[in-house]
Amino acid sequence: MTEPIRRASGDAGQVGGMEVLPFGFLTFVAVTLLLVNAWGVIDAKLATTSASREAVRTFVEASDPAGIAHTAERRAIEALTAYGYTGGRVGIDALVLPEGYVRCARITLSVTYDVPALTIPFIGGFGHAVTVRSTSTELIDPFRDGIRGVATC
Amino acid sequence: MLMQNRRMDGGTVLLLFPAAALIMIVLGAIVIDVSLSQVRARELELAAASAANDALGALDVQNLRATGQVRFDPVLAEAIVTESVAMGPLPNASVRSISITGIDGETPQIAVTLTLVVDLVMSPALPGGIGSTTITRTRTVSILG
Repeated sequence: MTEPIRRASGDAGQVGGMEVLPFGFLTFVAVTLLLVNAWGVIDAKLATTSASREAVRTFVEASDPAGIAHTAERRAIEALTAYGYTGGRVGIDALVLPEGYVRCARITLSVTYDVPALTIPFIGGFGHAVTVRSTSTELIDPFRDGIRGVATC
Repeated sequence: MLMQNRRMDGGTVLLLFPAAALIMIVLGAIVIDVSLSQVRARELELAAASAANDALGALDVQNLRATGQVRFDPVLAEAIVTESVAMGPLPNASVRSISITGIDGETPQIAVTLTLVVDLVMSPALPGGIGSTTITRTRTVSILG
């Protein structure tokens, strides 16, 4: 009557299933890292989208076109900083205006962020897994003041 | 009695662990795909807002100054919106509609509606999961005064 209980209480046969535990643990860690990395990409995408949008809006509605490219880049960096993204992983495409700062000129700006392969809380990120890029585009306001010429959209 | 219950629970953890891991994987997959859809929806919304802003360039300024009446060139508005979408963050998005309302009396508005098919990442790997979802967003700009 008590035979099954006696068999289960001993250590006999334990090695037969022990190798599954480290394998399961490794699987658990790998999947967790995958999910954390995927979330890191999504979070970085949210940040770069906001940054590129802020930079472009700053550019097209600028009150003083002089030095506005620098101001727009600063806005993008401020937006990224608000999301907690700083340092050398941020990239901003240089703004090029072949037609000059005129009404209806199209501005396109991209903000990139190199997502680390491994992020550890309070310590930072290591490696480089994916580069996230967000692009925004808009026309310089055709009806704004402060610019010579007429709107020719 | 206590000793007997403990013996009956022997090995339970071995069964709980894979179940917990499976639940976490499925929940993680849902979180990633929903977040991806939200990211794309946000991008689509911003693209629609930018396109609607740009479409104001189709306003006939000469007519407005001469007669005080608001009039848009719908062909030009469509061309501007199409260009804006093509050069924006989601070039695969399609322009569903561009509506110009409120010309007579009311506040003139341009509404741009964009549609995007988002390919999901994790869901297709799950049994019965969907491969993609369609998002539609509309943004409107008004001409004040």
